[in-house]
Amino acid sequence: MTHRRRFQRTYIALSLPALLYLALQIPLLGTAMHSALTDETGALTTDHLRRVLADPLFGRAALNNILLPVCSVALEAAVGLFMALWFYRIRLGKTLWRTLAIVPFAVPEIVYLLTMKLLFRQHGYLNSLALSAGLLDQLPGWLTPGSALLFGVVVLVDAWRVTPLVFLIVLSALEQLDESVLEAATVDGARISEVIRYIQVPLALPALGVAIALRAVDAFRIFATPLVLVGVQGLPVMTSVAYHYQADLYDTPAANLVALALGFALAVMALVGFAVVRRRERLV
Amino acid sequence: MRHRPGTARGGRILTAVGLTLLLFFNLGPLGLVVRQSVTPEAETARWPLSLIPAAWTAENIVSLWSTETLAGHVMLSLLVAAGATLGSLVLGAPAGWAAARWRTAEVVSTRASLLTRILPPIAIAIPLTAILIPAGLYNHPLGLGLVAAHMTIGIPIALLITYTAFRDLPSELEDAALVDGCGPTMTFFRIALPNVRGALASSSILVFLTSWDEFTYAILLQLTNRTMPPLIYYYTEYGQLGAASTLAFMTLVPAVIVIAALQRLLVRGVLAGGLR
Repeated sequence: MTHRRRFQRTYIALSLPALLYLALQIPLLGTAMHSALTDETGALTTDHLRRVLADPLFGRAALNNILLPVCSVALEAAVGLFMALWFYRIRLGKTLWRTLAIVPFAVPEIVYLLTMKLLFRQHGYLNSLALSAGLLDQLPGWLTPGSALLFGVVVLVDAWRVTPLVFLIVLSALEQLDESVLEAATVDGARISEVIRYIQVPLALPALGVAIALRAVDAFRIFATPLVLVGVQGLPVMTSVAYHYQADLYDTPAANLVALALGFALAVMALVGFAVVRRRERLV
Repeated sequence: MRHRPGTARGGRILTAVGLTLLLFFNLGPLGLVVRQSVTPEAETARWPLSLIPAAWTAENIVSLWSTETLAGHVMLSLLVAAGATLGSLVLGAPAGWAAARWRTAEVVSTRASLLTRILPPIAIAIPLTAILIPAGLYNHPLGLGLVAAHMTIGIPIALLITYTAFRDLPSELEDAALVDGCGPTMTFFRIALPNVRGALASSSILVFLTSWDEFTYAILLQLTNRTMPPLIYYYTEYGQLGAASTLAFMTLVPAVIVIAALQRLLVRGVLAGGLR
């Protein structure tokens, strides 16, 4: 018993520094909350809240912060599943193409976004190529602020970067299945479409769920993609509006308010997500 | 009739198309950065652009070298990444061992790591600025404030990776050390730690790269003493795409080396819990 206790003391001593360090973020959130809800004298106030709510930028950001992640994650899930089913059949140069698949995700985000800016800007490579090939009479403004086209481009750019991740997660789930099962199904007369629909897709769904959950957390924290492509005003999201308040307007209370609102929404979503998973596990 | 890929002609076509698309979409855009970095800034404004540069030049890197203290920015990025890596491993690895050996620590540490991942960095960065300014660590020339911020991302990475490795390590080894009179702390340093060198190396590289790439904290905590990502952002904002591309190309180099070396690890890291 003393033996165990001695070990437990060591375990606690070894865990504490890391845990305390991470816990330091809690008082930071407290500072943020204090700044967002009080005035200079320290009295509670709704001034900052009213200022933020009156700003049309915030309304747009809140809406975009729901629409963008939903569209982006849906696109990632659909394309990721499709790619996994497609590439499952490709044995040629497997290590190589798996490496290739992860490239957009593994290069620094800012570098990736710069490549997208070079591609999509009005006088960029995409329009140059379209013009040279004689494909378009009128060149589309892919990055025109506030346009529906811009929204689509941001979704595409966001999804393009992380779809390979969904793809690889789903692919590794598909590979868990012994190939002889697929062969047996084929021998018994199943068409490829039936094999995909009744064996592979059901098999991939749990992994796809994990991938979607992982990506959703990042998708709702979207920051650099719209900021680098079109700036804060072009397509505001919660994080970029908070950044704008802090760095351009020096309005720290408003910045804290917006950032906390996003953090709170994410925490609630995560807790609900955990609860759902827990419940499902108990049922199984 | 075997359900084998690549045997039928249709399968071969699908393979070729798939690999070509992947190559085109994933490497093509990076080619644009390379192309832009070796062409004069004036050519950025030319219309229409051609994929083959009209003239090759080293102008971008030369002008960056003279106008920016380029070496300073690279050094700062390296220093911050190294500091964050060291700090994250020193704190994260012991906690990873405790989590692998004691159920209570496992629950607390893994939950704390996951919760940290959910917070948007900006919600921490803004109040952190208010603390760092009076402490003299805001925009610090050695990036100390940024190191502290990056450790909040790095510790969970180091903790979760080493936790997995320690868990897979047979505990008989440590029991034997104990029988021979080795105390728990000594067991950790002498027996457990040397046996997970691979996990230590891989978590070092992942934390280093995460810090090297990190944008949100960097843009909020370093005003003028910028690491590479915010520097690239500012050149992009000012429309100097040639200079931005040159910097981007430099930033890419470590990332590419790591991708090439650690492809399997990256994939596994992603599977283990989406570390970034």
